[in-house]
Amino acid sequence: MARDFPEKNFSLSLEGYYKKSEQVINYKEGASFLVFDDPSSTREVSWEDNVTSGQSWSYGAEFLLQRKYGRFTGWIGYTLSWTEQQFDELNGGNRFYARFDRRHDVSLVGIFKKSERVTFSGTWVYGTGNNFTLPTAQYRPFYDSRGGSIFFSDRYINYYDERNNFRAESYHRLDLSVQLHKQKKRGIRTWEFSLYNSYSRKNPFYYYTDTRYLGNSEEGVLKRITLFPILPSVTYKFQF
Amino acid sequence: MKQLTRLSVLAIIVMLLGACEEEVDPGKLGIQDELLVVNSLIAQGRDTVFVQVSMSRPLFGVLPEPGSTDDLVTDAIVTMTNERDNRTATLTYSPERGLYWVRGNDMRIFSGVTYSLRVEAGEHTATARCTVPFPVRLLDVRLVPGEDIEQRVVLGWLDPSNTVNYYGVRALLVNAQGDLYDTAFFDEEEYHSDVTTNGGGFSARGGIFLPNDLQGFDQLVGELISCDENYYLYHRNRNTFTEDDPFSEPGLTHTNIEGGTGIFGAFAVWKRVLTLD
Repeated sequence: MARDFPEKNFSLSLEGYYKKSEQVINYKEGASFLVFDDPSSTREVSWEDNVTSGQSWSYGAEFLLQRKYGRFTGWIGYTLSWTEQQFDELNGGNRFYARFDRRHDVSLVGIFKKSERVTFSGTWVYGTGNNFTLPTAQYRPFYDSRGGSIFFSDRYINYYDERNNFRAESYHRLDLSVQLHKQKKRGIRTWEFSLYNSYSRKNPFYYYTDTRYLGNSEEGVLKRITLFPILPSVTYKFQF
Repeated sequence: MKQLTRLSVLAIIVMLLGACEEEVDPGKLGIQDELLVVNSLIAQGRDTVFVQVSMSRPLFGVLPEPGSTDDLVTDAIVTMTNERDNRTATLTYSPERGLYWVRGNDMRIFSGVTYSLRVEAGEHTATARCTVPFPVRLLDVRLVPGEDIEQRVVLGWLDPSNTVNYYGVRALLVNAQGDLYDTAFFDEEEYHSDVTTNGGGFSARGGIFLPNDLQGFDQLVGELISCDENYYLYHRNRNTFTEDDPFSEPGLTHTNIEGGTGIFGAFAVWKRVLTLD
């Protein structure tokens, strides 16, 4: 559903969607990327052994308000969505939210043409965090009464109650840029100075649990890996 | 000067593009569970039945000292019932072992019989059931030449076609003093099921032995562990997921304990000895 409001210089669209997919593949529990050709393993692990197939459902609604003309243009976009998956071999066969299930997605884009020579632009994006599978408790290993240890070490065992049981912190960032245009003899030269993630938001890439040693004792900690803090860049462009 | 400038630019780029690792307050994530943990593996012919009862501990904050037994539950009421003749035994806590136990005479374990377990610990109650499988004859234990000078152990057996069966395998080296060495790791081939290939011959290839590895040993004992589905899923899950590998996909902890976690599984072992030259 879409409508233009030319007298007010904006357009509005609203969309809904539903999609069901069969034969979707996902990594099996315990699958690893690092042992495909492990020479110490008793047999090679092919990628087919690392995946299993199932089904997925994606549904949601999208809203877009756009200003297309004038010195100030841009848009506001919002998506509300769900993505669920079901695999017989994963999560006990129960349905779960996909890793990249993103409940809310917002984008604000503004472009301001100050003059023929100077253009400012800014983009702010926001998304609900990804899903991860993290342990929720630890428990002591158990020794098999047939003699050996069930497990290869005395380390406490992490307990995982559900696949993708943890929702990461949300992702957001603001990108800013200024473009300086100049008409040259043979074309238009543009210098662009921009800042990616201008407020240096530490967006999560993944999380893991770790142990920190405190003299005689240990402390369990949750760690977050982030990529790409503020990134300045300069671009030179010549159009002819 | 030019080189210094280049190095500075490179250093800035590396710094900016570099990943950042930092601790996050786990309190706001709400991912802590407190669980009653019950573990017991029973097998026909054992002279003692053991059950371990403990509480899970938090993942975050100061952890108990290594060797601490504070998480063991010592005052639980643990009962096991033979569902065929409805006979129940109460298990006693042994502080030395950190386990609840009962003599095999007071709770005999038979193949084909279903047993139930009940654990009451404070406000937690956990229950579980399992059926003891019948042993499956291990037909063959062999050392076969590898690709070079090494040898590998191969176990072979015939899968009964009228039932769904689950297996684990193990091979132990035995020296003249009778000491056992579990060095023949089967890795991916340690656990098997006949869910998709019911009946027929099964084999498992394990450990790589160099000629020196076998010196000083008299026997190689192959073990075919016929186990119930819970035992199989629990061990296979533990075997495949490597927590040290950050790219490994975590698997759910398989459990058949209602009201907690852990395993109440059953197995039957068939051994076969290969005398080494």
